Amino acid sequence: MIQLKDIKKAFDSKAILKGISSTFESGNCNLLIGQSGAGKTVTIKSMVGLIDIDSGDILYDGRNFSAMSFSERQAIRREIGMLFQHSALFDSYSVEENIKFPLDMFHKEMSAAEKKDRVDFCLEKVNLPGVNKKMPSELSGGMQKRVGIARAIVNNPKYLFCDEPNSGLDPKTSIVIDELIYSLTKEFKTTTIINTHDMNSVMGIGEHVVYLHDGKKHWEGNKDQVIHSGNKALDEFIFASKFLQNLKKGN
Amino acid sequence: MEFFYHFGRYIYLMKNLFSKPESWVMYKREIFRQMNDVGVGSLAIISIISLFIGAVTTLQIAYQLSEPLVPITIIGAIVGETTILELAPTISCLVLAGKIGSNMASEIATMRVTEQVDAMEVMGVNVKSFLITPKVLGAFLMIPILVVIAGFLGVSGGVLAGASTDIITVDKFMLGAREFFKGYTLFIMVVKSFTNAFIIASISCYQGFYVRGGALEVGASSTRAVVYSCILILFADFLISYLFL
Repeated sequence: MIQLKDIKKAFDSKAILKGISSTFESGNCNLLIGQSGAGKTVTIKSMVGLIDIDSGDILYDGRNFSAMSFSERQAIRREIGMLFQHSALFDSYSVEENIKFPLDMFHKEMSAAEKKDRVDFCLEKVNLPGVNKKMPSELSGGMQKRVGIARAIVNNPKYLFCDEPNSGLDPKTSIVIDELIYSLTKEFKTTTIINTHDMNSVMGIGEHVVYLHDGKKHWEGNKDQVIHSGNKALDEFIFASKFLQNLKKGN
Repeated sequence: MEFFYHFGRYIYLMKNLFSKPESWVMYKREIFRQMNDVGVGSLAIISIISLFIGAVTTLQIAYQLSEPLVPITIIGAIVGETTILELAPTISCLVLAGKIGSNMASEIATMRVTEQVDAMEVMGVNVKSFLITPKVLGAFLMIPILVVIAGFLGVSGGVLAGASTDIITVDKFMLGAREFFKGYTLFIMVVKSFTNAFIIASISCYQGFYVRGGALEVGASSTRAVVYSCILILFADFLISYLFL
């Protein structure tokens, strides 16, 4: 479980996060949604320590991440897996070396064969067997995302973060990625936090949805409640597309 | 004020050179990769430049000292000393600043803007150490070797140019070079090469590491890495010459 308690962040006196609080349960797909500039990416980067917050607390199963020293944070980070918006695969390494990277860095006790088995297991999980020797540049966007997911789960993370997992992907591949993240969350009981503005993801895997608007939490609920939230800003966000507007009007 | 800001941040970044690596295996792999990139990757360009600079120096000194009272062996002495003291450690390193300095800066900067650095950081890797230590060590180990090769090839280029144009025979060239040779100058060459290696790698890593933005900023960081490295190499060259000679 991850808890945010009144986190605030400003850049050059411009407030980006204006006191966000929420609780993200383990074994659930928690979605942070909102328009561009709402503060989703700053929130998720603050949660993993890539951005230091100005005030508030970020608790990982009760452990106050925001008050930790560098070395204490490093220990927590080894329990985190993260999928980045553009996959962020190391382009000088092959797929196998990318996935194996955290194991090589932190698991000296594992033999080369064990690491290879673990890599193969993760590639099986993301439905990409046999691409071990390929370089990231040889893969499609969707495949790179799946390799990114494989690298994120190779360490058996307790917390899984996904920053815009569907950006740049076609709707069909987006659904595949969403289903993959959902099934991994259930299988490994991770606390999964997904930053997205894709309504397909919200309606597909949004077990817990937090709507951010102008740096504040405007609404919180699940995918069944999101359509009838009664929140004006959220409605404007959800029904921004012509397709959903027509659907709402009953056309 | 900005100078002090960058200087402080540079020192803070370099402090990570002394951090304990998370995995010696990964660091060793990266150090070998850097040694290959810096050493093997730069051998051809350094060889060509050194040969030609040695050759041109011989021709120009012969032109300037073509007086009846000046012994011809002086050409060997001047080419030998100049190559060891200046051409090999300084000119070679200026070329290396352009080749490997821009490479290091743009590699780290690209990793930064494509979130690869963030990905390592989230995994719990000490990125400042992992990205910089192997590059500095790789340069520190390989650049002095390249400089020694450059020195040897520079003198060889001078000998070849002198002999092939009938300006000076090989024997007379070597006689002059040996007569005025001081072992101390080799020590200066090594000091300069280690200093320049550290300047190139550390400045380039610093320029790449703090990049924010996109392709434009990556290019700008690469340019800054080369320009600042060259200026500092020349400044260090002057300082070492002043202190040691």
